[in-house]
Amino acid sequence: MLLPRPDQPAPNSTMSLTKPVMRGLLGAQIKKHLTIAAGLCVLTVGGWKMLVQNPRKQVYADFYKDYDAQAEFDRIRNLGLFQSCQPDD
Amino acid sequence: MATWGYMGLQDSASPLMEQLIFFHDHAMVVLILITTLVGYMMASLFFNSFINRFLLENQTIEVIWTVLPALILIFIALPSLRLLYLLDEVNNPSVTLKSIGHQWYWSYEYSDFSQLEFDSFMVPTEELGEAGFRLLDVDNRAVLPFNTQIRVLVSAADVIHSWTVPALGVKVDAIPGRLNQISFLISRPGLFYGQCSEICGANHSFMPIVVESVSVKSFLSWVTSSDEA
Repeated sequence: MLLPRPDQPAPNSTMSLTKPVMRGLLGAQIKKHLTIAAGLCVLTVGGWKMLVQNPRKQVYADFYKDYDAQAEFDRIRNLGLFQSCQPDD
Repeated sequence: MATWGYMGLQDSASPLMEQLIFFHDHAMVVLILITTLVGYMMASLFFNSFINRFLLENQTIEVIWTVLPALILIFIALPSLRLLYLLDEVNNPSVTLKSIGHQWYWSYEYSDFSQLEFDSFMVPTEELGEAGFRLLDVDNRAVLPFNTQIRVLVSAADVIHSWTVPALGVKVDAIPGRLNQISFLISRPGLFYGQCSEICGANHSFMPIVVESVSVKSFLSWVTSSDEA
């Protein structure tokens, strides 16, 4: 390979090093990680709300919607579980 | 009641306990948010290759990590205060039960209708039937009516105890020389278990509480027949 002579321009090269990013590294890192963190938070909080919090409220609402406390009391009483009152038979 | 291996709050038997459970779910939203945020920030440090030798102070981030926690605390405080005041309301109770803590049993007094008083001791394990719950069953249960406003006055005869029934969202200290009041409503019939919640000596773990929730009619006939007996 011929070495370039000092009085002549260097031959055209198809490869050149790109200048590395020298500034704004912290800002760029913060933006990237904050975006990912926010997305993760939305996922986890949304998951908790959708899989635990809202279903639990619904379960309680459904349980008490048509709940007949007197019928349930008679059922437990007839199983002989109460001390204060006896089964029907 | 609590069974082994169970991690969560017991199913509620009272509207106030329902609200406590829902508030706990709300507080968990905040905790999960903080844990995810901080956990991700810590994990990202494992993959960080930047160094800043001149990092000293930054006004912006100081403002952010002061204001953000304050906002988060407001999100927790508002529902918490709402529930706190709700728990303190007294709604014209129809039944009053006095619960006195002793070493090591509870005694109950029903003074509304008649002078009905009895002691409630834990059933020893040797005397427990096949269907009995070890360390939880008692000989005489505190019978109360469901769907009725109830007031419990709690005190103690010797040292400090605490009258607790998790399913009803009730925990009241029993302090000698002091009368503490708690008000609640039981939404459904059944048996609700609790244990003394203030260290009171050798048998602190062996003075449980059992509330038997029955219909109003049943409760009245029980009070009448017990008093006659």
